[in-house]
Amino acid sequence: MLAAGLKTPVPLEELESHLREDIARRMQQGLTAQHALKVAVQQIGPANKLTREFKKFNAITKRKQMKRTAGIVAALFGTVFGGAMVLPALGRWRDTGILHAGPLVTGGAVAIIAACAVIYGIRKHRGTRGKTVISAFTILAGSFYVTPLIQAFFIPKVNGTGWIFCILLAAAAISFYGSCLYFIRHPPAPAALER
Amino acid sequence: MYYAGMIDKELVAASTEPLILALLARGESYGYELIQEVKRLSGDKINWTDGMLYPVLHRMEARDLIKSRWGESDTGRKRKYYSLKKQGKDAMQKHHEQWSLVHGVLSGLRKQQYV
Repeated sequence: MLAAGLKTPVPLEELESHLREDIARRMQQGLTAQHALKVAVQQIGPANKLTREFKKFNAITKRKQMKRTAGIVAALFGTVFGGAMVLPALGRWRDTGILHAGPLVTGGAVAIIAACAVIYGIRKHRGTRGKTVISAFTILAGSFYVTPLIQAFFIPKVNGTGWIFCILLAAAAISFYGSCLYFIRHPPAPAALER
Repeated sequence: MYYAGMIDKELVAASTEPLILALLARGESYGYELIQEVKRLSGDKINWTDGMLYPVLHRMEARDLIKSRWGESDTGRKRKYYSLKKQGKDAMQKHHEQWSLVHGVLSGLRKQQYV
């Protein structure tokens, strides 16, 4: 088939299986192996037409995967955006003793929804395209939540509660974004996705 | 894309997806069998060009209408089996309603011609 001009993106394995099936059936009907092969190849159609059809299909798939990648990156940005609303509100609460519930609740909700969207998107994302981009943005988003812990080393007079908060935040971020990275590298089997 | 004996090329193309869905609704099947089955059921009037069926199947799989798995035939030959997914069943139902409507309208008009 490669000799006939059929290259990727055409699924050669599947077409080969089809061709063998067709040849076997024609031979059962009394054709010689050579004649059966000739007729079966004719039936598949010209190589360039077939390649064109599959290229069309791949272009659609590529667009779909790009959209999905963009969606996951946007959701990752959402987790950071939510955190960027929550963390300053918590800082102000500690410094002034006044709790601003608005940004806390909104930011928390945004971060949770975005986190769910990230997990859903990554679990559904089975394509090979965009993995590097998603991984890079996952690491960036994760580093946003680890930054307070790093900063704590350079800020004098951080109390015990502050340390515990920074450590817990960093641990939660590492486990969440670490899981995301794991799922990006090890996508679930198609059957598992349908349940 | 197709060699259609007496049926118009555009009509054959439009009916490919509903026919595949309807064939897979009877149980999982593979490319070669689908071609043979549609050929048999149409009395040799719809003859899909073998290689052209696969882009359609792959497109339908990408749209989550059908799913596929590699299996083996009784003789040990490798085959890619396709089966219907829930979205595929819904799409089939939709196609059925639309084709029935067109058929109904055509039948009605035809009856009027003979009145």
